[in-house]
Amino acid sequence: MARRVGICAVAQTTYQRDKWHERFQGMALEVLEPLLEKTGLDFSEEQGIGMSISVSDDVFDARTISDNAMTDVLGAHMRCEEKVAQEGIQALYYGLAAIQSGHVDVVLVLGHCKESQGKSRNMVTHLAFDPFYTRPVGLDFTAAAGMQAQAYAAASDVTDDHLAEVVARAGRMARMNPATPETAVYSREEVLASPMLADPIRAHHAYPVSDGAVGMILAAEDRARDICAHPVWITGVGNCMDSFFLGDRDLTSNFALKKAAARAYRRAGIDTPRDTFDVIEISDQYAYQQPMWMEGLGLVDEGRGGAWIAGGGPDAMKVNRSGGMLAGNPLLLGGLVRAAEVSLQLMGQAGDRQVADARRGLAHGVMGPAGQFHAVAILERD
Amino acid sequence: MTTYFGVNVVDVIESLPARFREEAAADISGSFGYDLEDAGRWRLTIGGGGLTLTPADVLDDCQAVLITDPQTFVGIQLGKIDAAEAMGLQKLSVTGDRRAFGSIAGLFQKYVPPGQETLSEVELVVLKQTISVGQNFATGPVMGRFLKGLKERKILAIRCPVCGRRQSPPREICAVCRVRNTEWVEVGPKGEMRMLEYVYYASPDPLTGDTRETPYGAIGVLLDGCQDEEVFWHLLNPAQLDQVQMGSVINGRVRKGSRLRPVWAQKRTGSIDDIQYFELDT
Amino acid sequence: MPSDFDTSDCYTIPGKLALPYTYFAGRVGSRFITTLRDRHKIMGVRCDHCDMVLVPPRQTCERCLRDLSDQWCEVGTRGEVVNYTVVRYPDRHQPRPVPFVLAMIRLEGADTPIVHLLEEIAPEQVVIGMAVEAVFAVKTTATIRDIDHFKPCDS
Ligand SMILES: [Zn+2]
Ligand SMILES: [Zn+2]
Repeated sequence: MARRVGICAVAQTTYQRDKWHERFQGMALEVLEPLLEKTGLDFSEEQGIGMSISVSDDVFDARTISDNAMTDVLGAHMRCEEKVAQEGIQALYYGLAAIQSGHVDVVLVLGHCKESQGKSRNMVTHLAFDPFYTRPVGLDFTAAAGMQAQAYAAASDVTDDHLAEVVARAGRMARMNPATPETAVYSREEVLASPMLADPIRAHHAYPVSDGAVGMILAAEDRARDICAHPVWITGVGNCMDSFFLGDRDLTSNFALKKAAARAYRRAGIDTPRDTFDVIEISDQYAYQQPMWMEGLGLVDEGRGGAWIAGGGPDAMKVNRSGGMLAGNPLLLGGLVRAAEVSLQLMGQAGDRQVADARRGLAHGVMGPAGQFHAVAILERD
Repeated sequence: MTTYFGVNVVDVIESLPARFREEAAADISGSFGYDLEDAGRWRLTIGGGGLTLTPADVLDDCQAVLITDPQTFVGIQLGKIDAAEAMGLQKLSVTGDRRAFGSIAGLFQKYVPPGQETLSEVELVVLKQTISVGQNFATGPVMGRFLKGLKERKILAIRCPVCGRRQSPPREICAVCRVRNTEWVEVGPKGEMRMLEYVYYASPDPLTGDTRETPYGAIGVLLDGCQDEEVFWHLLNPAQLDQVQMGSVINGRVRKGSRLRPVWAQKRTGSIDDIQYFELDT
Repeated sequence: MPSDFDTSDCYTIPGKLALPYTYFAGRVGSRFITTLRDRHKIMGVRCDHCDMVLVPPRQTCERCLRDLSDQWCEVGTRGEVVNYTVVRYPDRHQPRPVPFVLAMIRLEGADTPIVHLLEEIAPEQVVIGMAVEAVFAVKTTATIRDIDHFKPCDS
């Protein structure tokens, strides 16, 4: 039996449009210091943090090997330092594996991203495409999402009205979340009146550009119980990578998400995922993704995301009480912020948005054009 | 007759003399064996810029012998199998002088199957492109204070409250002590040359995409008021590349380096380029 | 930002990330591009095992990992729109002033659609299932843009 791994502490900065006053090293410190304070940990070889895993991206940071500019602010000088340049929730997976292997007992995960630094987030995601086949036609993640949204609209009952409600609700939720002080709160009418960005995605359907950092301390079970009173256990993680070319995929099939979810559920011993989770955080970069990913997770009937929204499903199932990605956090950190939020809920530290007696939650991350890569983590408390 | 990849193994080996590039073999001599299992054995003799190939039963007198199955041999000749990989998979081995065998690999033109001689090589397409994304780099309070100092012709360092070491350019924390740096000190602006890298091949500058003029000197200056490893990195006046001396302290033996001073830019904006470069302080 | 955060020394410096790259199309990609450029033919590769024709071609089938580099087959220069979006946000990496239509087009004989520009039609008139044909570029870029764009045609 593999060792149990617990999340012992969580910290994050606010997510704001332009943290012009801080470079990313400063944002990282703003996360590192409270984590050390909350846990009393240090970086001693014997009992301290044995591995630091940073989440960062070379193009967003505009430097090669983005992590080597920040080993000091990760406390990782002369220590074991690793980097995840994929969806941030992968760092959680990486830390879990490192601890389960017995390699280390305590891991720091710390992700940062300054989306405001680059002139255009779309230009950054454009660089994820192939220089011969897909960059020349101008693809980026927004345009790719536009095509997926188009296909999903045809394959499901989700309408423009439903999506307006998703966005309006995200704004309302974000007001209860101190990490998203700037999130615009739109009425449904305002969302419906916002111009098209990439049909059928409207301007208000897209997650805002933001800067921020998030981190957590993971530890093996025995250490976790020493470090904090109520560790949040990572009981299942699964991910799946779909094809690179959009044309090789069925954009409405949720293929990768279904696989990722099935793997996570199996590892967590969950046979019937519906009605299992007290709190759910999914990475909805664009409004259509909230119902679509819920279907892919097997939590909403296939093609019935619209009825689910109209019936108050998001509130009833405690989906994205944080405001989700629509309330704003950087692309790279989506899933890691989701996991941090679920952890706060399970630790009872979610403030105004706290779900009473939450015991089991799901966090989801997505990366790549039109949901190429999905990762799902199941978190539980005793 | 045995064929692999649509090609006869004997044809491939017997074409070696025709594919021999004399001009490349001037310095090479010796005899080399090919042991291709069922397909047969051959001896290749190279000397005086010429080559002979003969079937041979015994290869013991060869400098080196390549042993492989005929399929692997043909695959390698056609470029479909990687020789190093085949060796790793133990499908290919060389007895005797391995290195010598390696040296003859480049002596032969690529094998072209009969009937395909007139097909031109596939043109290999490359795309030259400079990716460029505009940035707005934040200084944060610590780097910002340092850069503002440069604007006023001051070089500032930040000191660790625990170990006292000075960092310039400054970092938010001392990596060694893992505490926030708090105390500012002015250092230099003159100092001693401690490190020099002559750069002859410049990488593109990621901030512009352009390649710097070479040669240039990247230097580490031990600014006055600093000690040990606390050097400041900048550029040397390119006209003085050969006139400077590197200082060092090795096992207590002190060697003095050239004295350097910064050359300030006329128009300073609060960037590292506010110092054009360092030059000899004479 | 913490309330005691002193921003008096903070400012931002404009710059860029700029790196010159030399991308290689690969052997399979090179043949695809030179055939498109010189002969105005669109080539795919067939995986017999998966019974699929893949465009753009690639060396390996990602489903069954078989080598496809010699499995060439020609596909049509006409095809069908299977999906599309209208890009309405201007940006430097885009090939056209906005709005423009990006469509997923399944060429005749191919199983995997490619993404390309759809022009010579108003964005509101685009419908899924419509027939389109390639318009080849006058000036080569040695990329997929040796097809300049697709335009509607009779089915
Ligand atoms: Zn120190
Ligand atoms: Zn296949």
